[in-house]
Amino acid sequence: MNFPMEYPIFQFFHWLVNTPGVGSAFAAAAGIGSITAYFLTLRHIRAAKDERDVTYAYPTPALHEHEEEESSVSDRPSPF
Amino acid sequence: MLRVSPELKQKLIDPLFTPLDRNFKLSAGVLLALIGWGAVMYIRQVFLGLGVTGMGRPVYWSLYIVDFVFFIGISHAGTLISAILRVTGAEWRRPITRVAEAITTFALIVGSLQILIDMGRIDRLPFTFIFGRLQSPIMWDIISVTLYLLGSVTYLYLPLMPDLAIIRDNLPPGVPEWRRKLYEILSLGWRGTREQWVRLEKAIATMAVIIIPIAVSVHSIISWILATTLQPGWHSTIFGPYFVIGAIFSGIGALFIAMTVIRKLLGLEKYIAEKQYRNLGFIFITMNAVWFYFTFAENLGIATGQQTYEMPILATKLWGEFAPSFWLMVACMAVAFWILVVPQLLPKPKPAMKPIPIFSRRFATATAGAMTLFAALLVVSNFVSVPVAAISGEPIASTILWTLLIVNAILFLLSVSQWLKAHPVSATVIASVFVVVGMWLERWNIIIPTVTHPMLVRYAAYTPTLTEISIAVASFAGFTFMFLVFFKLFPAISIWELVEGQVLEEAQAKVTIAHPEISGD
Repeated sequence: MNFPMEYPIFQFFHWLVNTPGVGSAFAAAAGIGSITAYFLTLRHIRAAKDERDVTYAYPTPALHEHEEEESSVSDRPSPF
Repeated sequence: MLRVSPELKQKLIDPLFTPLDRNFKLSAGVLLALIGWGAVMYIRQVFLGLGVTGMGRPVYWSLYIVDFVFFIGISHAGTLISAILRVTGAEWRRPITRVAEAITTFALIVGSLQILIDMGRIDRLPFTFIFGRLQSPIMWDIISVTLYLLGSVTYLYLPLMPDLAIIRDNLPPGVPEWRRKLYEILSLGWRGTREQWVRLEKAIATMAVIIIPIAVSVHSIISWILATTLQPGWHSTIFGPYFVIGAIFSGIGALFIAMTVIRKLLGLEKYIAEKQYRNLGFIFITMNAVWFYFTFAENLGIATGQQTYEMPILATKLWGEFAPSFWLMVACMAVAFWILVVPQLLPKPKPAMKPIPIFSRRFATATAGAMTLFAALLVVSNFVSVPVAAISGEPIASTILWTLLIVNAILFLLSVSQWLKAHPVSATVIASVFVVVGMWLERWNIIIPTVTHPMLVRYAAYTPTLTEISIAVASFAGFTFMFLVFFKLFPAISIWELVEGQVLEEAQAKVTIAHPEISGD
């Protein structure tokens, strides 16, 4: 049984794994993509605004539960 | 302004600002001298070529690649262990995550450098990218190591951010301006508002989940660099999991050593307590057992297959030129397993009990002395041509000597087991040293026997040269130096995670669990 190279999909895969420079393009994309994602994450954390001027030196699960309670109350459709 | 308790400030923040003492300067001086010497030898290698190493046809991979696999292996200590413990909600992880994550970052930096050092012609580095094809496992490795390094740096930095803000807000007077600026910039304006905490914890949780498959891929791909070749001894389907298990195993060993040194130097016994050693120790024992299973399975297939190209490699490990490194590796792992397991099986000594002679110091000294004597005789019989060698070199005499050595080693281990039980932290560190040495030898035993016994080409010998040894020593020095500097600038324990853990523990202690209902009459 011959390898089905007549199909474009296999021709594409052959090109993908055998072409010099494509591997490096993947490596560069992975590197640049992750750096961008991490940078955006840090910016997202830094940009967090809170109208209350209360700061905490450490969190507890209660800090998050409080948020869930509030949002779940407001988001929940009224049964009436 | 973020507040911290005076006790934590005194233990975790103030030591960062004490003037550098004599021991620190001495350690840094020695480490820098070793790094400097390694750098000189590397520059010499760049100018003179790889001919200054022990490499040559057909030995194209050597000590540098052994160190590469070893360092990438111990990098699994940190981020992977820390991420798994975070995801599974293991509360005891809190005091050790910072050290673990630092190990990963530094080991990855030093490990990746080994590849550049091994290249010889560093000016040809761009060619690996210009001609890099996706079919090459080396390309997969570049992708996964890059992702792991970037992910690990972020994973180290994210939980550090609130701590940097705590330091920024609690600086002792008279701190140099550059340090004030450093904490101000690195804390990224962290204030600790509710929304910031919510976002930070989400980011950490997401990273923890992402980093686990990346970490597994890193060491799998390193094993595939070997396994996808047709080289005898490497073309194995179990190399992926075998390498991952070995990496986690050596990583935990490195973590135990690092956290014990930091615990001792900074007086953190209260925070890094026996609980951390006990719980991580259970994972350590499991990894030890799994490692034995994989090693046996890997070699059993080769031994029973008896194939033309593979069998000589196994033979050279079992009784040939690599037998010392192979059996030393097995001995290291067996001793580590004994140290971790056997003392736990012994009953606790009661005050009224008569001391058992086998656990006495005198018995331990006697067996250690006998062991040294038998080992010396065996060494003499192998390397020195004197009359005594003629006797101890005889097969029967040699077998008797080996038997006596092993029996005495077991008796010695038994005699110190009571002490090991009474000193769990020291016992764990001793076992970790055996594991780390054993795992370095394992990397050696995988790489070097195969490259010296290739297919179709005449066998060769390999001995590392002064250049390679100097650069290897410099790499270990560089790894240690990064630790020294990092923990002089940043707290060794995540302050906010520790406090959160304490608050949760106190809350849990207040909960009273009711007795079960009485059933039946």
